[in-house]
Amino acid sequence: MIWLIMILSGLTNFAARYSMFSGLNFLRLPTWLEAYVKFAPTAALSAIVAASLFVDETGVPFEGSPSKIYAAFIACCIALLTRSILFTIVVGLTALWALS
Amino acid sequence: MVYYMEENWREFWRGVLAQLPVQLGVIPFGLVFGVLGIASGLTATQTILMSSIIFGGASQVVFVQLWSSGTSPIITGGSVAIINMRHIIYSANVSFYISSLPLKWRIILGYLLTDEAFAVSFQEFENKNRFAHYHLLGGGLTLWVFWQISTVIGVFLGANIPPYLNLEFAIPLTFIAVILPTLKSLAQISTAVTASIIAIFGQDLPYGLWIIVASISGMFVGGLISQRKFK
Repeated sequence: MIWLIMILSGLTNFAARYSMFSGLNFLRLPTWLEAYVKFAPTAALSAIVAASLFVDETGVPFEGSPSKIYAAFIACCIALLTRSILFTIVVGLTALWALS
Repeated sequence: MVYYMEENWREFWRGVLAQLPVQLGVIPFGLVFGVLGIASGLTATQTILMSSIIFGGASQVVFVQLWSSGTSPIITGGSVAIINMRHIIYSANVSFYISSLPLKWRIILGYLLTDEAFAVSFQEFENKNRFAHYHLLGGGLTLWVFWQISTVIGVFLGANIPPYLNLEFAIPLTFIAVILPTLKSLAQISTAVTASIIAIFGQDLPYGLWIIVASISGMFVGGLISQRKFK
C-alpha cells in the first residue's frame, strides 16, 4: 500500500510540475492569466520566506526566533547590495550564528 | 590550448555553480528526511526511493509524518498533492519558453522543477536567455544528486549536524537573495507583502493550503495593480 501511495504522490507531483509544459491545448494558459503568473516567483517564494521567519514550528504567528529576523534583515541588505546567492547565504548564516 | 566550451554547456555549469551554495540548506534537510523516514517505520529502501519518486522535501516530510501517524492513505496522498499544487504556478511561469522544447527536455525539466531549482533559474527565463533550459537542467541535477546522497547518508549514518547551526536557514536566505532585488515596482512589492501576510496568518488552514492561498492572493494583487498602471 505504501508503495502505491508513494508512486501516486510522485505522479501527481510530476503532473503539477509538468502541467504547463505539456503543450496540450486545453492546458494552455489563457492570455489574461499571463499578467498574473508573472508574479508567481515573488508570491510563492516570499510566502515561504515569511513563514520561515515569522512562524514557529507549531504554526503560531510571530513566535519565530528574533535572531532569525535580525539575521534575515542583514541578509536583505547583502542581497540588495550584491545580488549574490552565495554572499547572502554566507552573511545570513554567519549573522544568525553570531546572534543566537 | 584553450578549451572552448559551447555556450549551452557553459549555461549548464553556471546553473550547477549557482545551485552549489544552496546545498548548504539542502544537505541537512535531506539528512533529516533520511533519519525521519527510518524513525517513522519506513524501510531503508522505501525512504531512499521516496527521494527519487516524489523528489520534494516538504512533500516527503509530510508524507512520512502522516503515514506514520496512521492517517488514511487517501488523506496522505491528497495532502502531498495539495502541497505540490504550487508547482503548477512555477510551471506556468516558465511554460512560454519550455513548452516549445522537445518532449525529453520537458519531461526532465518537469521532474527537476523544485522550489530551489526554480528560484535559482527563473530569472534566466525572464531575461530571455537562449539556453535558460540548460541552466535549469544544471541546477536541477545538482539538487537531485545532493538530495539523493544526503537521504542515503541520513538513512545509514543518521544526521549528526548540531541543530544550533541552523543550516536549513540557507533555503529562505536563497529565496531572499533571488526575490528582493526584483521588488522594484508597486505591483511586485504588493505581491510580496500580500503573500507574506497570508502565509503568516494562514498557517491554520488545513492540509498545508496556506502556501497556495498565499501565492494565488499575491499573484492576484500584483496582476491587478500592474494592469491598472499604478507604477
